[in-house]
Amino acid sequence: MKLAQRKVGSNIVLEVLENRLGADKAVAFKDAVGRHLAAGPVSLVLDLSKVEFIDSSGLGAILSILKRMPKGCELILCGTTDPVTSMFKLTRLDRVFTMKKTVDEAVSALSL
Amino acid sequence: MTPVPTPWKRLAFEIESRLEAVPLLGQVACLLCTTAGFTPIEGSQVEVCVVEAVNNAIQHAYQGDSEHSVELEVTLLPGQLIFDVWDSGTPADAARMNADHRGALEIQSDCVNDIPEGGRGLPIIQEVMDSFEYTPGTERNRFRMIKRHPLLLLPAQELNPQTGLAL
Repeated sequence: MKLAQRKVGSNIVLEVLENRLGADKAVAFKDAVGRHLAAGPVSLVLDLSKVEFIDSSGLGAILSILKRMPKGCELILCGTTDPVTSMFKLTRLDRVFTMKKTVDEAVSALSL
Repeated sequence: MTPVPTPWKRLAFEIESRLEAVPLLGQVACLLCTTAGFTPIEGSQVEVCVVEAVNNAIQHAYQGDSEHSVELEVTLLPGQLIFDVWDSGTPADAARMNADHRGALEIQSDCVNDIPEGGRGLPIIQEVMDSFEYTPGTERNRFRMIKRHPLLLLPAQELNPQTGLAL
């Protein structure tokens, strides 16, 4: 699972460098993001701009990450492509997650 | 010119029962959809449905064993594309598979921890496809999904017989 991390203040921006988040990648994805969260309580921006496909396993993995966020920390998604956005809407999960268009918007939302 | 492919009627593709191979079938389904006149978003949603059905076959019928095969058969009929996913594994509970899954995608709680992480595959299929049906068999199990499209209803005289495209 390829992720690129950069720190913004005390928060982390994680860019998913895979173009598909399906059942074959879901567990590795959860584990990889979990390792970044294990270092301490941080809020997380998940940049999905390179992901062109997501299925129910991928959505479940992101939901799992949301559930594992430390108390007081946020998870914001950003950069979702049209196919991925459509799946969030189809499954109503767009109502569960905070979703922003860009990384900058997401980071700004974190700092509010 | 609106693409309406009619020269072919049925295509079949087979993969090993490995999750890593599933994207191939999904991408084939998406390509066929967009070639047939569906929008890219419709094509990507059908791709998700095919992937969900194939994942089900691998994870449940074969319980993750990669020594088997899964076949995707796509049939073009007037006004509709039919996607049949075949496996020869342990049959699933047909009543559960064919149940009405509408409403399962609704978020029932304000508490994130109460929202299930799984169980969205069949509800997604029901939401995207016009119909679906699981038929267990003694040798093979079939999961059939049908997607209708008005452009595919064009009568043959409105199509170029060489290219299959609308005149």
